[in-house]
Amino acid sequence: MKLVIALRLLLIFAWALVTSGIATIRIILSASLGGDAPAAGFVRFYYAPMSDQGATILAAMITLTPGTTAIDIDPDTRTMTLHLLDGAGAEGAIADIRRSFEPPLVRLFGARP
Amino acid sequence: MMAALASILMLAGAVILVIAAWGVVRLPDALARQHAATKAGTLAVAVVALGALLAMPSGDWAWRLVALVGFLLVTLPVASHLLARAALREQRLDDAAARSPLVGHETGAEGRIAPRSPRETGSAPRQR
Amino acid sequence: MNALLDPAVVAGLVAVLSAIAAGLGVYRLIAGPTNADRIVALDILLAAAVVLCLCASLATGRTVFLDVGLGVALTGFVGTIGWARAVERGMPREAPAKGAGPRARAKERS
Repeated sequence: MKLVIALRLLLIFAWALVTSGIATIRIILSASLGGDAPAAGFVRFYYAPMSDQGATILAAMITLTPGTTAIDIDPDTRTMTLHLLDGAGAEGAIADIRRSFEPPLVRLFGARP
Repeated sequence: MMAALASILMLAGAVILVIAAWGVVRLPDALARQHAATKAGTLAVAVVALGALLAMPSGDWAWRLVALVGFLLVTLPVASHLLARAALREQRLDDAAARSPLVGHETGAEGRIAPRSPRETGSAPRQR
Repeated sequence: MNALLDPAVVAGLVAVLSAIAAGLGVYRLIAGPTNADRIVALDILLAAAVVLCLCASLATGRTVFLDVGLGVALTGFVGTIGWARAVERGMPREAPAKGAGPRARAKERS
């Protein structure tokens, strides 16, 4: 069972790489053609309760999603600091993380006791 | 057919690499450039490697290419994270990151932040 | 059109394109206002180097250059990590002077 979840996670991982590369390329092209670079920004969010390993893998996967890079994890307050290439899409990016990345990771690495 | 697909993939990968390098030149600051270099750069290498795999379908090539791409995939997040931190430090943006808006709500079991364990509260605040 | 089906020819084209990418990377390496920019440029040069290794092995049809590419990726990763850590841990505050060795940095930190 855990193996299936892990394999699905691996597929999501690969897909995230492709979409993130394409999205990054689109941002570069629109920035150089339109002459208007997107306003980058920082954002913090609460991640679901999981072990430290789970949080690390979540940070790695977030780095692979379009235009986001994990900068800091604070296990005390369970917040993660992200840098967004496109600061306007913060809400959508975090909703995406919550929807597609967190559930399998929570199932694999569980809530912290 | 296979050869055509391989050629297309390799050329596409090379074009992606040029776009990534262009992004490194064109984007406004180191934090944004880091996105272009790590993500688009790794995607470029992965696409070229896939093309090479289709062009030379033999075991000798396959495992080396898979190892190469796998290694790049594993190292991408680490490199991206560390480059972002270095850029943050150089541009004096530490405070901006620490005071950034906190989006969404906690998703804990009881809807609140998990209580700190004594071990964690005992640790000194990290040096910024 | 048929020439484009030959891996060696395609490898040549890809090599030219990645050389262009490497040139852009070198520009950022020289111009980059901060050290972080230079490390980012190093990263893109690394990607170009790996692609050039792939081109070399496609053009010659030998797998030796794939091993070289694997080695480049491994050492390049360690290099990127090392330099990023060095910058993050605190280089001299001002633009690093030519003679700013480890001793000068240690003095700065204390």
